[in-house]
Amino acid sequence: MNELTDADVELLLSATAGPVGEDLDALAALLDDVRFLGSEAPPEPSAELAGFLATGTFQGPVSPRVHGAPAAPARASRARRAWAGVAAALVGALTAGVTGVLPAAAQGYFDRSTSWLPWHEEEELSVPTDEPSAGVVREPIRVSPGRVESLLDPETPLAAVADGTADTPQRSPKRSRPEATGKQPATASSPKDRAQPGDPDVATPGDERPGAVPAPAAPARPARPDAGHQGQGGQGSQGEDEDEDNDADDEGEDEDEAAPGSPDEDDDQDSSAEGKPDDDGEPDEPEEQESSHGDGDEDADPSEGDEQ
Amino acid sequence: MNHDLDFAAVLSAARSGEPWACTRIWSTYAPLVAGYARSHGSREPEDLTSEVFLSLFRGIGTFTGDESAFRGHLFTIARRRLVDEFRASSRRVIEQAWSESVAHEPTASAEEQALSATSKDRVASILGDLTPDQREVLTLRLVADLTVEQVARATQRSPGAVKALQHRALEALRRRIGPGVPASTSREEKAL
Repeated sequence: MNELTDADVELLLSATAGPVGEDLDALAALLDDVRFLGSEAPPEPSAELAGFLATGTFQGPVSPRVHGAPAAPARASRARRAWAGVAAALVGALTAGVTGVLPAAAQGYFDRSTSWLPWHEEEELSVPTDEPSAGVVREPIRVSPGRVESLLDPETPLAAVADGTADTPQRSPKRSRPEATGKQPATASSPKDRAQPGDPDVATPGDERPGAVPAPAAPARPARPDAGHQGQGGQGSQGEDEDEDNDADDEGEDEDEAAPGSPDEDDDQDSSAEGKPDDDGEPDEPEEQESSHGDGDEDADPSEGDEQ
Repeated sequence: MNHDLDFAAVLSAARSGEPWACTRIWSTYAPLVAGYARSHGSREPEDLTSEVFLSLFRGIGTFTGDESAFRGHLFTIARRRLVDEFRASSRRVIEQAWSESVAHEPTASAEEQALSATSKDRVASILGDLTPDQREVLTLRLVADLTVEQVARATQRSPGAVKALQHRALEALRRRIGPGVPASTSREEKAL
């Protein structure tokens, strides 16, 4: 079989191919079959194309990429812009709940609405409405700092927030996370339930009184790996649970007025221990100074004690 | 193209949105595009053809040239759409819902399938033995009736490369259909 020449190729591929040699007849017939692939009836056009062929215009929306029309802003983009203001106001409100300073923009939001944020920590606010509706008596909303704090606390049950029983100012920023303070979780429902050496019912070495409880020789639980150097500090804060909230409800909102020896006072001592002022030999601050500072526990940066 | 009407007149009318002109273009060139798609193993040649002409009519206002250039422009679009389809099909798993009727549908035996095979299937099978480049050049020359230069522009190759590809394609087809053909008759193998 001879090799195909360029003339043979042109003759075979030509639409008006004449007779070819005998050895190329089969190939020419095959090429005719290939040409036949494009000689059938037109296929059924799609619905969009059929509409165009009938009217000469495209029906329905055309993609902006084809016609260069400007794209409309996406709905998600508009929604993001709308929520941006809400988010800014919320962040400002959260900041104001801690420092007592409300950004101007956020303050405008809350001036126009029923406010639930405190302007001062010691006084309850009465938020009068500027334009009371006729015949509608609006009572001023009284907000206490502890109430706001409990509202902002994610650990506070919603039910407690709703009925007002969660109105407690006793929590400090660092007491709610044992991992951050190195404290161990409570092993008893309250500190009073824990047996400690020196208690009448706790047996000391050599104490053989009947019914005496053996003194704990080791921590109830092994130290957490993440307890760090603070490890054993803050036994008094271990009983931080619902009991504290109940105590706070009973005793009022001023945590500085907690009775000596109460679990709340233990919490304060633990907070100072975490800051380690005693390690430096400095005396503890009087409670009056803490009161003058406002909420000393709230202002304290939890990370400062660790850095020292 | 039916040359009863001047191509320029049809093209001008199609640019202005005359339905009859658009229908004329469709009926003249759609079979070629569909055949081109079938020769390349398109899964849905009819849908692809419609997509090609939708693109063609959307941009027909900017086209300038004669009938030969129009044919090259049309098959350039067709080639791009075909490549898009192959790329999409390579990423997509074809799923077919199971149904009772399909499950119990009798299938033809191998003998029945062989007897019912048309020349179209045979052609498709033979073209399938070519390399993709050879098949593309050959179908554009035969089905689309493009010249070497038009094929070169559509496939972004040089005319010399197109000529070499079509030569090798014909040699391969000749070996495929010719019994007892020596294996060392092509230019490629001699060059090696």
